[in-house]
Amino acid sequence: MSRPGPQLEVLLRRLQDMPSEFLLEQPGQSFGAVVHDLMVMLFDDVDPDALQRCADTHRRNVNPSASCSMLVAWLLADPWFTSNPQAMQQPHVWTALTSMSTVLAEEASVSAWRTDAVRREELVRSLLATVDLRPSAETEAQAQDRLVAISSSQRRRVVAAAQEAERRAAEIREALARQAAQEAADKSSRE
Amino acid sequence: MREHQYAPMFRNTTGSRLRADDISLLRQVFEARLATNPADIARDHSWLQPFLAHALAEVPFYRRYRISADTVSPSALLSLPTIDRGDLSADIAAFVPDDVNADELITYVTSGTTGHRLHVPSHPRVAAQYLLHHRIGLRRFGLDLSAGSADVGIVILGYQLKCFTYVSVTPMQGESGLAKINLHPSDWRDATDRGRYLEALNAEVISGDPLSFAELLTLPETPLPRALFCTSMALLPGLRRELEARYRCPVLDFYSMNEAGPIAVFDPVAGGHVVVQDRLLVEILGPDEMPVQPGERGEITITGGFNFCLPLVRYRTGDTASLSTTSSGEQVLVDLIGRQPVRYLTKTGAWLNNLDLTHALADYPMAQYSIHQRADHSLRLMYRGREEIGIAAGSVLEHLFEGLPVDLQLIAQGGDKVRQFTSDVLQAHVGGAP
Repeated sequence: MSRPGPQLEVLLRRLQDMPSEFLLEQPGQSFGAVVHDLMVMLFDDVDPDALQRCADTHRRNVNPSASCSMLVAWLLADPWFTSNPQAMQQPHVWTALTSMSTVLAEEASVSAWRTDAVRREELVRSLLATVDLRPSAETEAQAQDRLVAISSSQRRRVVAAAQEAERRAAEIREALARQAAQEAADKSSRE
Repeated sequence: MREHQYAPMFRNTTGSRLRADDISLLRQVFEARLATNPADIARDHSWLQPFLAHALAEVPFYRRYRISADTVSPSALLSLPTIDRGDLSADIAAFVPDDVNADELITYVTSGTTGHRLHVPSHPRVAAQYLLHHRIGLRRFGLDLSAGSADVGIVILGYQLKCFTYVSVTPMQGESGLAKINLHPSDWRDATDRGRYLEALNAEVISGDPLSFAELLTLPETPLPRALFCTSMALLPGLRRELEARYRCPVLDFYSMNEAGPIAVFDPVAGGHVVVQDRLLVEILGPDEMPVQPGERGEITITGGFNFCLPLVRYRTGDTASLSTTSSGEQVLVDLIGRQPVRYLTKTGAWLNNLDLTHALADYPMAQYSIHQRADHSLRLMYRGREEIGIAAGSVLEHLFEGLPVDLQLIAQGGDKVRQFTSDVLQAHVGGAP
């Protein structure tokens, strides 16, 4: 939240006005293309490995995380972001599109994130915090307090949960990669 | 075992990672399980509700289903989505429960039938329970293990250009010896040492796959174990009969996979592969992901298992069978079609094991690939991933096959049902037609 970002109200309105066609029936089919185009729009470039990981995370329609990711993509396509891409770092944007979106999906339905006013504000504030921005009219302390206030009624706080999920996944991936070079001798057969 | 005059070179050093508290816990598990009547185990589904509740609460991937762990019931299982190897491969970390300590994880790297490369999370206590399920399989044949600290309990055979090999001991089998060896001549001072070494080890069990057993049969010596375990690939009837006749012992054909360990063992009396795990539910699903009619063939789909680092909820294995039950209620997989071993011909007429291909391409991060050899011996590499990686992998194959042509083809997104190793070459399938 170190830097000022767009106006909160603009993003809240944008989320409310999101065309429902943008919520894909089959997220797997064009999800990758939407994220690809967004990243090109923001950064003129897309890291194919990060795109693959993002698409893999949401690859199947067994959960609404891809649709939540589309909510995030829709917000990030706001003119403020596309005119100020240097205000964000790419890894933070990928976190918003992957870990944060899966946490959103765990917390509430896609329609709740769009239609419920409190949820909407929680989503927008969580997104800004994840990409290290704050609403333009607020100080860092105000933005922090309001994010905590709006999400404290929920079971978990989205930003903290997304960071924790990211940390845990990285910890497991590292542990597996470290162990992959070895083979434990405890198995009495192989597959 | 390492110093024996006929010993091969052992390429690796490893050992059991069980701690003292693991061993005492495992002793209780082994004792309780081996004392329970198989019919009682088959009837007992009381484990399912707590298993599902735990998975839905503690596993990030299943948490996204947003189904309350408090209200889930076993009858709700059918309403849960299925998953497949592609899901595991896409984001394996999301399948490890939050209550598993990452520092204790071990892993097995596998490519599997459909070519999704995967680091399977596991734990020393999980690996040690393979032995328990092998013993349960043996008991169906009236046998049990008796090897102690002065004996070699098990020899695990590979037959590959490159293979992880080591000697170790098995704490859960009286500290008996364990050797994993590669029958490929390049691992030996003299290829004629292979049979002599195996005879000298006099292992209670020899474990292998159809390709390594086919090589074992070419050796003039005849070691006499109490049983052979065939795992990892389908054992075709011709090879089974030959092995039984030559080594005069039962050949236990385990249906086993890295994701879930030994699932079932073939028992001719039961007419198929009998499930050996006590907390594993098998469903047979049609292409619409709905259960097929009883007795119909479909995809083997499993829930449960003893790998607590990778709880599986409706995991579609990619293998097919129909389901029946024994008179005591045990689940039987009938006419199981699993992974078929395939070998490939190089330009100079040498055979390569499909595992050699897996190893050769291990460093090329393709999400998925398959290799087909045509009757004219030319090859096709189908892959999903970046083009430059596919091109590099194609050159590796050309080199490995001594200049045979390899053409490349991208696998379309979403197409996740690919047989990884296929061949039109005569005798590519060990032990009979696929």
